[in-house]
Amino acid sequence: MGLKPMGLDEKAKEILIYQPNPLVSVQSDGKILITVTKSEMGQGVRTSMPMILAEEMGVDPAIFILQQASPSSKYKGISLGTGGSTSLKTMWTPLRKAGLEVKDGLLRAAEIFFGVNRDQLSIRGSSVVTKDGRSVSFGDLVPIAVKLEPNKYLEPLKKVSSRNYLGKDRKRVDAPAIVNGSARYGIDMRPKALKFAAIKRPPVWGNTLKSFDATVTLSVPGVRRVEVITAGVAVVADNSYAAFLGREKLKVRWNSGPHTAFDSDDYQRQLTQNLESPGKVARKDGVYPEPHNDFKTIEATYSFPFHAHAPLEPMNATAHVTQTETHVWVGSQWPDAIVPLASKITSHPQEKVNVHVPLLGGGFGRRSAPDPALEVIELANILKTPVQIIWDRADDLRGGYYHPASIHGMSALLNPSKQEALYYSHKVSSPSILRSSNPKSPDLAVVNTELLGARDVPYGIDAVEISYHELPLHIPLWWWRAIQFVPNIYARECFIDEIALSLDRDPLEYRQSLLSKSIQDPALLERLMNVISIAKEKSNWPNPSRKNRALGVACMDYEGTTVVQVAEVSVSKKRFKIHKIYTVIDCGLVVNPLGVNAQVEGAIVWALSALKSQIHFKKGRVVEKNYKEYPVLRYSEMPEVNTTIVDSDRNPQGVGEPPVPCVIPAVLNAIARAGGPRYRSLPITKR
Amino acid sequence: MIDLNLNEKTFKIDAPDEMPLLWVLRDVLGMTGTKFGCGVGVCATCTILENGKAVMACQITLEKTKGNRYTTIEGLSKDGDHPVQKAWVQCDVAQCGYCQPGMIMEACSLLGEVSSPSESAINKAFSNHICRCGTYPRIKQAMSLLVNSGKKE
Repeated sequence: MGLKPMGLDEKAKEILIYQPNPLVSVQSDGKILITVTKSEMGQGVRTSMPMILAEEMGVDPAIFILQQASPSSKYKGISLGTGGSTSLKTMWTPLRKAGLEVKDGLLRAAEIFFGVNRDQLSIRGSSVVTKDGRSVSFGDLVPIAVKLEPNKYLEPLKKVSSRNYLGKDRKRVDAPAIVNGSARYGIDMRPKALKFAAIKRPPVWGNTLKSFDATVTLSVPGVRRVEVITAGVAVVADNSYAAFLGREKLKVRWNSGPHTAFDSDDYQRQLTQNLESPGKVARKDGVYPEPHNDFKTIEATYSFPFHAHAPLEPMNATAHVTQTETHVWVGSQWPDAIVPLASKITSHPQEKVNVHVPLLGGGFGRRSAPDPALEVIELANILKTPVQIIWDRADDLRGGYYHPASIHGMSALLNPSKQEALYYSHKVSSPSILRSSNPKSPDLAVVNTELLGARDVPYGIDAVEISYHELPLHIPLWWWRAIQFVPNIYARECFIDEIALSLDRDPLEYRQSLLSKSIQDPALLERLMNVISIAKEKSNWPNPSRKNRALGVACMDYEGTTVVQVAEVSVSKKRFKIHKIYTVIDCGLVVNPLGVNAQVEGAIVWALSALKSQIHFKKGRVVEKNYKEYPVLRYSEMPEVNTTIVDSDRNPQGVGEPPVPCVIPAVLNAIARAGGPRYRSLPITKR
Repeated sequence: MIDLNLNEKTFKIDAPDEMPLLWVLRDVLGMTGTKFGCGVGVCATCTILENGKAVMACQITLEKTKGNRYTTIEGLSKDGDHPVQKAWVQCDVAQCGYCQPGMIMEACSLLGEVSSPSESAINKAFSNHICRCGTYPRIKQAMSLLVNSGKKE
C-alpha cells in the first residue's frame, strides 16, 4: 500500500465518510464533523462537549467542524433536550465513547495502512504517525476505515488519564461570530420570501376569539394577510414593523372565560391559607418531642412571587410548510418534543418534520416549551410560504409559562439551653409546575419535584417534617433556571439562619455542626463540609472585609453539585448594597473552568435579578409588559464575584443552575446580620 | 425613498418614514447583527453608532436618519479585528451572545469619546444595557483591558 491517498486520482472526488458513531464522522477530505446534541443557549455546550470527545480521541478540539443536531432516530437514546443542568452529566459517557470508537477505527485503519501493530502508532494533530516517523492523515485513512467491521472488543472507558484539554480554560467557539454580528439566532432566520407575523393573543387565559375586524389592519402598508390560528389572530406582513402596527389596528372581541377575575395577590393569600390544608407528607423523621417549659417554638412564613424568564431574544420561530415537508427554525431547548406535535398539525410523517436549531438568545427553561414552534407551523401550514412569528417584549412577558409563586411555612422547636433544634418543619404551598407541564404526572412525582431542596434538607435534626400543599392554577407554568430549588432553598437556608440566631449560634458553624450529625449520604456530607470550610477561609468568615459590612451564608447540594455561597453586604438607612458573592462549587470533574466561572457569574445575575422583579396578574391579565416593569440586574449593580472551583474525579455534574439558589438566602442572611430587616417576602422593592 | 448612510455605503430605502431603523436594518436590509430586545429603549440591545455615538436603533425612525452616518456591528471591521471585538474575544465575554453586538457598539462609542473613560462613565454607559446571562463581570474586564491599552499608547 502506497502513501498516495486512495481515490484522489479520479476527477469526480466522492467524499467518503467514516462514522462509527452518530456523534462523530471523519471525511476523506480531512474534515472531522462532530454533532452537538444539546442546544447552545450561552452555557457553552458547543465549546465543552467537543472537548470531551477530543480528549478521548487524542486530538485538539479546534480541528472539529460543529454540526447542530436536529431530532432524528439515529441518536437513539440521546435526548436533544437541554435543561436541568444535565448536558455534560448525560453526554459525558456517550462523548467519551464516541471519541474512543473513532480513535480505535482510525488506528485500526492505520495498522492496515502501514502494516504495523498498534503499539507502533500514535495520534498527532489530525494524523496517525508511526514510531519510525511515517504519517498519514485521518482523511486518507477513511477509505480503509469505512470497510472495517465494528470493533467487538473495544476496550471499556477508563478513568480519565489525560487532561490535555479537560480542565483547561477554553474560549467560546462561537465568540468570533458573536462579536462580528454573524452569529444567527432563531430571530435571525431569513429563508427566501420570508413574511413576518405578529399574533393578537387573548388577554386572559381561557378567553376565546369572538370576532375581529381587520379592515384598518389590511390598509397598513406591508400587511398582507390576517389569519386565525389557535394562539389568536395572526397579522402577516412584509416586515416586523408592519406586522406589529397592523396588529395594533386590529379590532378584536373576546368571549370571556372563567379566569377574568384572577388576581395574583389574592392567589398568594390563598396559598398562605393553603398551608393549613392536610397536604402530602413527603418526609417525617423522628417524633415531635414531649413539651417542656424550656423549649421554644419559632415560626416564619416566606413568600416567593411569580416570575417570567424574559430571555433577551424574545420568543420567535420560523417555518416553511410545503406539500411534503415541514421545516421549522426555532431556538428550542427541546426540539424532540416539537416533532410529533408538528406532525399532527401538518399531517406530514415525523421523518418529514425538520427542526433546525440555531443559537438561543437565552433559554433559562422558557425555550423548552414548544408553543412558539407550534403556532408558526400552524400559520405556515395555512400560508404555505415561509413565515416568522415574532413576539414583542409584552407578548414575551404576557405569553405564559411562568415560574409560580409559592408560600413556605417554616417552624422549629428549639432547646435554647442546649443551643439545639429538636424539630424542623417546612411546608410548601404552590401550584405544581410538573402537573401544569404534564397533567398526567403521578402525585408522587409531583410531590418530589415540588419539594426539591426542601425534602432533601441535609441537616441532622432529630425530628423533621416536610409536606407539599398543592393549589391548582390555570396559568401555564414551566421550568425556570434552577426550578423549585430557588424558592425552597431560599426558605430553608434563611430559616436555618433564623434558628441559628435564636440559638445564639454562628450560622456557618451551626450548619457544620448540623451536617456532622446528619444521617444522609456520607459522600455528599463530606463534599458539603469541604466546600463550607473552603468558603469559611476564602470569605474570612465571620469577618467582612470592611467594618460596616456583614457576611451571610447558604449551602446546598443540587443533584450532585455541591455549592456554598457567602454574600457580603452593607446596610445603611434601610438601603442595602451587595458588594461581593463568594462561591465554592464542587461540580465533579471540571471540563472547562472558564465556562464554569461564566455559569457561576450568570447564576448570580439570575438570582439577584429575581430579588428585583415579579409578575402580577390583575383581572386575569399580566400587568408587566417590558423590562421597565419587570426589572433585571443591571451592570452597575453587579457585585464582585469570587469563585472557587473544587476539582474532583467524579464525573461532571451540572453547573448552570446549581449556583443560583443559595445566592438569595446568602444575601438575605447577610442583610439581617448587617442590622437590616429579615426579608421574608420577595421581591424587595424598597432598597 | 430615503438615502441611508450605513457602514460607509449609501442604501436606498423604500419604507415608511416612521419605521424604526431597527426593522429597516433587520427586515428590509436583512442585516441581523443588530438585535431586537424591548422595542421601547430600555434594554439597549439594538445599540448602533450614529455619527460615532451610541443610539438605540428601535428609537430612531427612518425619517430621522437623514444627514446622519450609521455604523452597525457588521460595519465595525472587515475581519473582526477591531480592538473592542478582540478584547471581547480575549476576555471570553459572551455567553449566549445576543446582547453583545449592542454592548460592543456601546464600548466603541464610549472609547471614541474618550480613550480612557472613568469607571463611573463605564458604569453609566453599560447600565442602559440588559444581559440576562450575566456577562457584566467580563465586560468590566474587557473594558479595563481596553482602557489600559489605551493609556499605554
